Order: sequence, then structure tokens, then C-alpha cells
Amino acid sequence: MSQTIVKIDGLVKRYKELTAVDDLSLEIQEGEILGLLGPNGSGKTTTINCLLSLLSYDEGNIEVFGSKMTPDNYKAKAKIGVISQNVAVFDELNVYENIDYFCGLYIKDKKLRRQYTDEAIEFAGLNDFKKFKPKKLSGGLLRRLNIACGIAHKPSLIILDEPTVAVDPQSRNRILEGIEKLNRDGASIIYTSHYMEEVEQLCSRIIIMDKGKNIASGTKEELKKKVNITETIKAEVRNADEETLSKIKQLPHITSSEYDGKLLTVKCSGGKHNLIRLIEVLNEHELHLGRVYTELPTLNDVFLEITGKQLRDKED
Amino acid sequence: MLLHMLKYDFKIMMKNKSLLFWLIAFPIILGSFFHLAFSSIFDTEFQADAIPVIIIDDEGAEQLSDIMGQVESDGETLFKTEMLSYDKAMKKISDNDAEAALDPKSLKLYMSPDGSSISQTIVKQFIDSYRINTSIITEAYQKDPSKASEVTERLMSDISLIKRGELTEGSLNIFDQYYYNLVAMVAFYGSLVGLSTACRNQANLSASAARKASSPLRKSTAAASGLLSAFFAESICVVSSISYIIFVLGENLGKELPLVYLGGIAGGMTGVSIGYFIGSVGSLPENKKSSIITAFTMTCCFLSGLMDASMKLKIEENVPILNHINPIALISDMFYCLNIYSDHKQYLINLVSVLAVSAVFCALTFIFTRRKKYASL
Repeated sequence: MSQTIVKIDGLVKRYKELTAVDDLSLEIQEGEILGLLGPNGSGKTTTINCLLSLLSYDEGNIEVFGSKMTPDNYKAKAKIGVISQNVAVFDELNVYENIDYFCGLYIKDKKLRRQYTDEAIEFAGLNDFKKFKPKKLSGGLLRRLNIACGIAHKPSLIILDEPTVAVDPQSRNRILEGIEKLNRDGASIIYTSHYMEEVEQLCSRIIIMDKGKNIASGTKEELKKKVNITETIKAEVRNADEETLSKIKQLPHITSSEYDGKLLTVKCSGGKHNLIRLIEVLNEHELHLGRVYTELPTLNDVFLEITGKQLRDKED
Repeated sequence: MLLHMLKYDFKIMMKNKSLLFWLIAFPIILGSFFHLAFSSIFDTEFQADAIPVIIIDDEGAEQLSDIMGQVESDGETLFKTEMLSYDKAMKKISDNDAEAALDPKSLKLYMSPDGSSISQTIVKQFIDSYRINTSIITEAYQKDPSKASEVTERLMSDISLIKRGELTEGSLNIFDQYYYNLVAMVAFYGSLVGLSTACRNQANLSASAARKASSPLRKSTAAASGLLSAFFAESICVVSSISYIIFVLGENLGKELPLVYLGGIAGGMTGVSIGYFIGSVGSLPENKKSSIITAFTMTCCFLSGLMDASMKLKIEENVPILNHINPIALISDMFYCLNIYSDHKQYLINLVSVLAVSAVFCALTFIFTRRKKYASL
């Protein structure tokens, strides 16, 4: 039976008039990857900082590894690894020294620390950059160094706060693969992001946050069941007229349709053969089709359904 | 763990280029600048002719005239004095017939608008020196009446600016005050080292500090390691600066070198602990705290006489409390006492005061940061 390693109960954190975290409760079981998904400003990082006892909070209770989390709960802190949103390394130290420095905050034995540092360098693929100063590293390598510094001491609970912000796709994939490996090796993980694809790929359980509240939680399958949409059909069509669009809207199980002059987007709720029926209508009106594809509901659809707004900012 | 932290904290500090500039390069540049400026003022070619100075005929005029008449440069009289009434003096000044006129009572200096800038600088430096030496006698009476007559005798025996005569067992040259202040400034720039250390330990100031705060590292260990390495790094900078002034520029900071170094190191510790305290309290970002410290340091330097040696005296005359609370004035005063007084009593009092200030700020920082949680990050 899995053990509860983090328990947050009724957490409230206010910044003057703004309630950053509003009565949030959650639990993390041993071995799981919990995703905290929400737009910027939804309270994910504040929750993490309260959990780490860096931030004071107004109400609630936080327990980690069965004991109340306080600034001097060193026993619990020794089992946690933190990878923050901002790269937390020293510009004056090289890659090896940075990892060794942070590993040394947890591991006293010199020999063991050296071994762990080497393993972290190997894990992050930084073997060729050991002597490099952080300023000489690319954005992706810098993020990998940030991760290596947080996991070198082999923590049981790893907290990753938006670790892939401003990272190229290649490095992002490498980071995500690394996180999956850490989990396979036995670490429990809290992963915060506003990238739904990452959360969908990684997390065994997801909490969607907005305005400091837990607005939905469950596995990705459970969450998707909460939306009315079963599939979204997208078709490249030119010159569709009002009559055609009107006919499409009248088809069964169609909940909405949008057309921007090039791409027709149709959302369906249940039913079968929706795609076939749509193509029939388009053929009847002698419209030439380009690419046609269907998408299953995403976490963005879940967020949209609950809050009425997009999960991700347009600039993201 | 402490040794591990110490090793890296020291390494980080000694690789911080900005800190090294302010603590090593800047004092070297400024010290070299002082050296060049002061040595060129008394160019021997220039001193071929005595500088014409009018002394306004008032109380003390004859005494001042006598003293100025005794000031020599390479065996030649430096000033050619003449006593005139105020109106006649002003006319001569405006006609450019004299470089400067002096009021013997207030020691106010009137400069000729078209006079030689070097001549006028020499007259001004002489007057500043005269004021300070006069003040030394007064101060000596207040601090140790039994030694005052001895100091007075030595002061009056030779007031030459050029020979930098040894008026007491040490040097009373006005230019030495600039170097004392320079060393005091380097010592107080330790506050930047302290601030940098605080930024590595306070989770609201840097991401790396937040990571440290999330680790099982005890706050006391982090603070002890940070402060010890900061003290050590700052001491290296102070020792380098003092050594440069003494051994490269050949300036005289006194005969008791170990005590000069000790005073500088103690001043550096005070700077570090004040900077660490400022860095550890309040929620301003590092750049703002750094600006506050730099502005505060430069103001204290100005008030203690780094830009104008007579400033400290003017403050002593008008707002004496400022000299007693200005940390740079306190630190430079340590070197001054070391040179002026033949015993170490006043030096030790200043040394203990400076170390006590350091201890108080360290203790306050430990109290403020213990079990600290932040309202915002």
C-alpha cells in the first residue's frame, strides 16, 4: 500500500488583497507523479514555496513524510529535491562545482558526494561541459544543470517547478525522459507546468488550478470525462458558404463549429460517424477538402469547460 | 558541512569580478591617483618663487605670519606674507597682485580669481593642515592633558608641508588623512561583501538562496560559513590595499604596521557585518540594497574627508556627533590615533568599538534570520 508523503490541508496564502492560494488541499502518494497544471498566476509556485516552508501562509496545514513542515524540519528537507522555475546556480562556479556544492548540502561523505555528482552529470548529459561556467551554457543545458543540482543527492520527493520554461524541444524531451527515469527509480514527483502536453505525458494524477483553487483533479482520463466534447474535427476547406456552415451546425452531436476562411473546426459531443457525415455535407456542396483530422479532448478543453478561458496564454 | 560551505563561499567571493573591482582595483586606482596628485603639487620647479599671501591685519595675524614664514620647501621659504587691512587685501586680490588672502581669526581664505591653481591649492592645503594641527592640540588636551604639551611642542617645532615632518612619533601630514580614509573605505566596502553573502543565504534575494533554504542546511551554518568566508575575503582585500599604499606607493601609514593591518581587518569585519545585516533584513532587491550601501559608503567617505581632508574637521566643529557615528570616520580615526598618540589606548578603544559594532550586527542578523519564513519571494 502506497504511503502519503505530502498532505496539504486547507492551505490559504494571501498577498494583501490577493488570495494566491485559496483553501487548497491535496495529497501525494509515494511513487506517483502529480501534475499541478494551471495558467501563470494560478498559485502553483506559491503552493510549492509554502510546501517547502519558504513562504509563510495564512491558514492550513502541511505535512511532509508524516511530519509538519517547518523551516527546521531538516529530516524532511533532506529527502526533498527542488528544481525551481528560475535557474538556481552560481555563475562563479563551473558545472561540476555547482552540482558538488548543492549535493554537499545533503551528503556529508566526500566519496559518496563525488559519486553522486558524477552520476548527476551523467544523468543530465553534461559530461562534456563539466568545466563550463553557467554563462557559457545554452538555455537547455542551463536547465539541465539546474535539474542536476536538484536531484544529485537522490531525493525521495522531487519538486519540479516549470522546469522546461524557455527550453528548445530537444532539451525539453530530454528533460521529460529524465523525469520519467527518476520516477522509475523510485522518486515521487510534483511537477508544475502550464504546458498541458507535458503534464499529460508525465503525470499519473493531475490537479488543475486556477486563481489559487483546485478546480479539478484526477487522472487525465477522469478529467477528460468531465468535458462534454468527445472529439474535435478539423478540416481544411476553401470557400465554404453560410448555407454549408448552417447545415453542418444542424448535424447531430455537433456542439459548435468555427470557420476562419481556411480551417473548419467542429466540436462533437458523443455519437458515431461524425466525420463521415461532415464530409458528406462538404461533398454535397462540392467543396474541395485539404487535410482532415480529428483530435481527442485535451486538458485545455477541460480547463475551457470549467473556467471559460484558455489554459495557456496566447504568447506561450 | 561547514568546511564544504566555506570552501565554496570563499571561491564564489574571490571570483566575483564586481566585488574585486570595488575592493581591490578601485582603491588601487584611487590611491595611485592620490599619489600622483599629491606628489605633483609640490613640483620643485614651481616652487622657485615664494607664493604671495596676504594676511588680514586682525587678531593672530602676526602669529600666523610667523608660522607661514617658517614653512620651507627644499630650504626655500614657501610663502611671502604681507599684513594688510581687509579692504586693501581685497583690492590686491581682485587686482591679482596676490594669490590669496587669509583671515587669521576665522582662517577664511580669499582667492584671487586669476591666480595660479597650484599656488592656491598649496595655500589651501596649508590652511587645512594648520586647522587640523590646531585641532590636534585641543583634542590632545581633552583626551590626555598630561601628553598635550608634548604634542604642542612637537607640532610647533616644524609645520613644513613639504618635508612632511614628523610632528609626533608618527606623521601628521594632511595627505596621510586621505590614505587613512581610503583604507577605511576599502574596509567599509566589506559591506558589499556582506550583502553578497546575504544574497546567497536569503531566499527572497536569489534563486540559489531559495534552493539552499529548501535544503537541510541549518541557517546558523549558512550564516557562519558566509560570514567567515566574507571576513577572510575582505581581509585579503584590505591587506592588499594597505600593502599597495605602503610598499608600492611608498606612503607612510605609520610605523606600527601590524596594528595598521589589524585596524584595517577589524574595519573590514564591521563593513561585512553591516552589509550582511542590511542584506538580511527587509524585502528590497539586491541591486537596490547595493545602491543604498554604495551611496551610504560614499557619503560616509565624503564626511570623513576622503574628498576634502578638512571636511572631518568642519564636521567636528559643527556637527561633532556625525564623526562619532560615521563608521568610516571611526575606522580612519583608528589609524590617526595610531600615528598621533605614543600609547595605544585610544587606538584600542576604537578597535574594540569597531569590533563591538561588528558583533552586534552579526548577532542581530542571526536573530532576524533564525527560522525565517518569507511573506513573499
